[in-house]
Amino acid sequence: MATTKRFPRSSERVEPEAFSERVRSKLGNAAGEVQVRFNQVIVSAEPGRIVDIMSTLKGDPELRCDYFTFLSAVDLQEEGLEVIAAVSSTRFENTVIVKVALPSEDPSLASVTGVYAGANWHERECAEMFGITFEGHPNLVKLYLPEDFEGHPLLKSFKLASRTYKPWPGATEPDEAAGGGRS
Amino acid sequence: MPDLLQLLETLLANPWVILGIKLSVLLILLPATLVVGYVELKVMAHIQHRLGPMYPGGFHGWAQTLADGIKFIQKEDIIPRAADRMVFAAVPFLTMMGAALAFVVIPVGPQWIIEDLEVGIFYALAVSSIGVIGVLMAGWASANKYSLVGALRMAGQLIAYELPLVLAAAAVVMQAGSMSMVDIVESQRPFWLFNWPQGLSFVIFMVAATAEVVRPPFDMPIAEAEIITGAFTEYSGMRFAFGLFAAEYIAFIALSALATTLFLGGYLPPIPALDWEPLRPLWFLLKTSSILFVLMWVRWTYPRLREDQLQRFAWKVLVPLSLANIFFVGALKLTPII
Amino acid sequence: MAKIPDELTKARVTGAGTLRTEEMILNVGPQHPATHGVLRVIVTLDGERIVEGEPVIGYMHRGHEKLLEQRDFRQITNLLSRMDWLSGINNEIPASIAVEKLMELEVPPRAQYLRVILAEINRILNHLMFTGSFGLELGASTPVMYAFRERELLQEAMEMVTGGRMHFGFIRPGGLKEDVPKGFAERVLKGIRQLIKYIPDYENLLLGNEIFKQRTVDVGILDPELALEYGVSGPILRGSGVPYDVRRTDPYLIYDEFDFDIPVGAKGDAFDRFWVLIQEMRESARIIEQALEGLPPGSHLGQVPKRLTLPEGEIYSRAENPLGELGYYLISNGDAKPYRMKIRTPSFSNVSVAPHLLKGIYVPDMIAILGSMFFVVGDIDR
Repeated sequence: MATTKRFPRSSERVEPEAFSERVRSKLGNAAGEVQVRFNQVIVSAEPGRIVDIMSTLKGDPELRCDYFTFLSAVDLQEEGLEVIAAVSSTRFENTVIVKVALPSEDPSLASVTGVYAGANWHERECAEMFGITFEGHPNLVKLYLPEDFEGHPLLKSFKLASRTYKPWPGATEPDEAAGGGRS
Repeated sequence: MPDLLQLLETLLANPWVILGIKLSVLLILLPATLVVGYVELKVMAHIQHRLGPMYPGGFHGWAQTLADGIKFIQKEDIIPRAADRMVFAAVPFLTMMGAALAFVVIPVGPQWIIEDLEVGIFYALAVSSIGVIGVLMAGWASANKYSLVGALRMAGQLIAYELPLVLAAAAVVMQAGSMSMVDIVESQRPFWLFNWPQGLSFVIFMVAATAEVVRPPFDMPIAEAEIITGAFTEYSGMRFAFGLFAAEYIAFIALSALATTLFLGGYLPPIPALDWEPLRPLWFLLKTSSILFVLMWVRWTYPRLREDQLQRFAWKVLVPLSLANIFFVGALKLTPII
Repeated sequence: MAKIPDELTKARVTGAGTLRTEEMILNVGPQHPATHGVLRVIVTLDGERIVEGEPVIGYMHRGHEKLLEQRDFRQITNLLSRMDWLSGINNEIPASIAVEKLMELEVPPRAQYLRVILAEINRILNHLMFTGSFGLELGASTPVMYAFRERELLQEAMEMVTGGRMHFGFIRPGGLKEDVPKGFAERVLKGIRQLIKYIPDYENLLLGNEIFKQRTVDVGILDPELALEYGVSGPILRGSGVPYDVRRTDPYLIYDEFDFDIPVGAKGDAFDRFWVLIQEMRESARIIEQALEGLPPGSHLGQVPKRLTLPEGEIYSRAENPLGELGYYLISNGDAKPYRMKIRTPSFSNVSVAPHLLKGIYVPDMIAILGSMFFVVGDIDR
């Protein structure tokens, strides 16, 4: 039978600073910079090492990032694309965010579905929205968009047609709104 | 009072009056489905802590089902292009007819019966399963996968439940020593309100009958949340109203009336002192309504079972139980009790 | 009975070759009563048995992430409450927290308390909805009416505060849009008391019902490790026995000041998930009572500049939504609009594990499983 219990914060909880030290030592030279921001560990990684890093994060007994939080990307325009993957450890109560820089031209990255099966849909979404190819993904077809959709909507170069055609109808700034809005 | 009785007796001796009574039994059937449908709406609403229809007709929304019926008539009649038109169109007649035919042998009073067949109960059970053929036809003719799944569920359910239903009725026939419905009622005279030697048969019969009329918790063949009204997915308007709703309610009333006749002493009054000829239809109606009410109560309380669970229940529990029951009734038959 | 009994599978193997059987592909949805909107599941059927089931999503994709890049931080609140339309307030909170953390805004204690109260009321509203709809999917049409009777009282309390019934748009960076009106606490307490009084009714009507147990116990068992790997969260993850709750593991607002329990299931079947859902309403009610008692006087809105311009920076801000972990990854480049805002919704991850549960079961079990996954299609598709 199921139970209701007061589950306090995990007794094995590790402070983010200490956890970032663990991440740094366990990942070794696979990872680049490791820092802590807003209590979350941020790791920057080389594209080629992403699967290694994810396997270590998940498998290492001192990290145990068993909870796959999300995977997405951001278009940094001149600086290319950046893939952001977040995983959490339910035992040590920490979140690690892995960032991988990719070029804007023909971006591709090894799929992490082999490590976290849950990355499946996240990678499919990322692929259609940013045009990133995830190598080794079992079924890299469109997730949200129709099969014949052209373009990658979340790239900055993809303009929202309606706003180009017709500007935002109301006031966009508080000062304008106070003055009765744009006519 | 004696004058009145005498008048009644002369009236009942007149064949035309008898014919009128017989016709009236049949003629009140369709309006009865409307009434039962309305009562079900109200019972459901009150069980669910709300009022239900309040406006149509003025007084507590009494005309709701009538208005629904008119609405159904006005709706567009759609037959899918891929459907087998002939079979598709024949379905509502078949599903309704099967259930309605059972009323021929149900005694509302010893005289108030359309035809007291010698094989009454056999006939009633036989015709009430005709409707399933209609459902199977609907499932096949609709050219819809949901309908097919629903129809096959219906067929499986019928096979599983017809057996306990018939076995439970067989126990009653053993007790009465006759298949005539009037004889069956009269054989319960020593017990009046409840024919207790048939207690187990009654329970088995009610469970099987609920499955037979496809009402929750045994409504898998039409489960809206799973297979979208099963065999009737493609039906709309009048065909839907008659094929599904009217047929369901007629079968519902028929089986309740059958249960009343077999187990609750039919038209016999609850105590011998009230045994007065003109009141007999009243007792019958009261008993039938109580069964209808209990079945409605069950319907709005329970979730539905799964098809395989139902099959398991029918074959592993109900069939052995009804066989044991026949043995029990047979043993009772050797005693002076029945 | 999640697994097919051995004798059935054996019969199938020995019969193979002698009798030709065909698999049937059934398209469940996008319009189907059990899919809460427009989820579509393509199932391959062998008779009543599902060989394979694959959810197809995207029928309600509204491009929230792209739209958010065109709106400033005052406007995005209203957009976010439309993702999971059953938990508007909960959707708005982490977005405001992200802005507040990046701008280092102070949120007054009264606003913090009120946010907790509103979020927990919203959680109860959401859970009541699923309590009813799960019964409905299993064929019990009465619980939904009971659930809505209680829901209406709390819904009225929300309406009294925000003026809305679904899309509240009430949380602002720095606090709340307005203070709560007079009589709010009494009305909420009345709703909570009635809820607590009637929860045993739901438990008797569903959890204690033999048919309900037959339909849910051992159906759709979700392994905790698999669930974590798919990022499943909320009542579904806790139903599998993992006590992961963002309110506890990564406390936001002032959740660490309240005393509440985390219900977890034992087996991870549909029954446990539903059980957890009902118990969570009790815990939310406890939190609301404590928060109303400790509600401090003061301002409902901190010092917020007229123009919300965020400094450059990035933050992942998350909260425990009624359906699971909701997170926003906000990237600001110093503009008045987000440069990028990734939305991590609970339903998306929760439903992505469905193909694993939809193997080798019967069609009615699919309804029980999807119903116990507690998803909102707007939350999957964004």
